Amino acid sequence: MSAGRASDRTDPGRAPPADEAALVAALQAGDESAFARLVHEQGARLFAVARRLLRNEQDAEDVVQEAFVQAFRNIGRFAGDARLGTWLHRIAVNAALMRLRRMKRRKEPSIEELLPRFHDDGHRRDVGPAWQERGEDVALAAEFAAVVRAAIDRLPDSHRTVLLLRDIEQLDTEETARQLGLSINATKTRLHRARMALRELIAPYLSGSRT
Amino acid sequence: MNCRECIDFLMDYIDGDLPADQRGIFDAHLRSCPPCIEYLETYRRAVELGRQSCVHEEQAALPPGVPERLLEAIRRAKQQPDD
Repeated sequence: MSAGRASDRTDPGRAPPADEAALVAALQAGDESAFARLVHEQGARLFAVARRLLRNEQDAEDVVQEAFVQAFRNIGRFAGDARLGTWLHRIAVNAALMRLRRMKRRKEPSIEELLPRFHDDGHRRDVGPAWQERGEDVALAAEFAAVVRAAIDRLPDSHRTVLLLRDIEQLDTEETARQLGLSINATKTRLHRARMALRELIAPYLSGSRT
Repeated sequence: MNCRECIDFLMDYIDGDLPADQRGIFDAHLRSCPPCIEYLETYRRAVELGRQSCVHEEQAALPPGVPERLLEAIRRAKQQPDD
């Protein structure tokens, strides 16, 4: 399994630590405590990835289960050309996207109303108030993070998935396009529109019109 | 270049994907258009805030009972032949 840019977040340009090789060997030997360690070390991150894509805790848990079972079945073929975390991340993303495709498609809200509007002469219509700096208060930061995540959740799936894979999961454009069955140009266009829509959705919280 | 074109090409500009001549035109527009500078900065900030918001999420523990159920699923898989 190839490692796309997702490796940036888990393979920061260095060889796997020595104990990862030992962990892989233990996993390949079927050592149950090694799987317990894997669940302990990677479970929360994979659950977060799946929940972001599926927007539902039960579906996320099912997908993480599928991912760990797939990992268990395929660990014998894990060759160590990517970090274990990257490999698992890829399995979980694939499983989540597959489930998302199987889910009944919701009627998507239009993204158009969240995009910038222009006058006939090309000037922007909706120039809003300037954004304010946010303080460093930890509790407020956590609260605001929830606001941003809720804004991401509000994006139409067709755009939300591109933003999640590119900006959050850090897959490269080619891998994102492949995963979603899109052209490179469509992937780039959707990412740009998703980012503009996210900007629009969080603007009221940063310009002081909402708290 | 007007603001609409500037915003259309914003991502390519940020990613360094604009050819030099178009980048020059883009820079010239930004020098004369504070609203587009503001848009560029807030667009970048929205992307960064999106990333940061998910870091918080990954630091949270698994919900209660989930680790046990994950391990149980692996145990069951061990006892079953491959699908």
